[in-house]
Amino acid sequence: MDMSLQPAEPTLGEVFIANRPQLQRVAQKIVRTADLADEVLQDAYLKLADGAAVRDVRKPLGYCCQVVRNVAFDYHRHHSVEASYRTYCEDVELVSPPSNDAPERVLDGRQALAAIDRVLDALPARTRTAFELNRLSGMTQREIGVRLGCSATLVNFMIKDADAALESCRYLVQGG
Amino acid sequence: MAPMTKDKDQDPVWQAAWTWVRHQHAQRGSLDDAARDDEFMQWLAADPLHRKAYDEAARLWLLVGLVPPANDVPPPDDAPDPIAGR
Repeated sequence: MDMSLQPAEPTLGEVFIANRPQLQRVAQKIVRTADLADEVLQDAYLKLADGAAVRDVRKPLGYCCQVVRNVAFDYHRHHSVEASYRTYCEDVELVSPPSNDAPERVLDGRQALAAIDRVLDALPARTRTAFELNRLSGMTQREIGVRLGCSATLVNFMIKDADAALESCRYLVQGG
Repeated sequence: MAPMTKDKDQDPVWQAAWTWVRHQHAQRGSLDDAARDDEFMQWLAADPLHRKAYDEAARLWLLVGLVPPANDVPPPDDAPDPIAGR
């Protein structure tokens, strides 16, 4: 057998497809219905390449889970807010209709991710670590402090710094 | 040096929108409650610009979550399956 024909590593898309049942569970745990989980998976699959173009993905399955989890959370957030908003508008008899914006992205995702990556990279390395542990791992500031060997107060400052830096990225998502 | 921060980034509406999105992420275990929050609904319905800023902030927050990590960070505790070593 000619070993040279074997690809060195599966692509992100291949990892995604090979682990689809697990990713489906990740999504469904957040959005609750199988139909929505399917939508999340389709959307997430299309977004994989954007992230991979920005930075080396060291843990392909971990990254697939990250994308699915975050897209699922965004769907869930969108649906929760729209449902509450509709009820609220009925209660206070507002005429303004709820937004029908599907959670689809209009801008060039790759460029936006690259810009965000540059903003995060301009922060001190430990600040970015603290932010990633908070944003991606869902760790509390206290847990992050223990992991990084610093106080929760310092972690709080670091996350605020990262937040403030990202807050300046509105231009990436500003429509109309 | 040209200022990095444009005037519109100082917009209090944008700052409020960003704060709501951050708050909702922190409350993601009970998001339905966070979304029903009366103060949030009042703010959201008060002005179409609030709505627009909120949608933009939510979009930015999602994008931030799609950047591959620079560090070896663990998956969240509530992930259904262990994915260690991959």
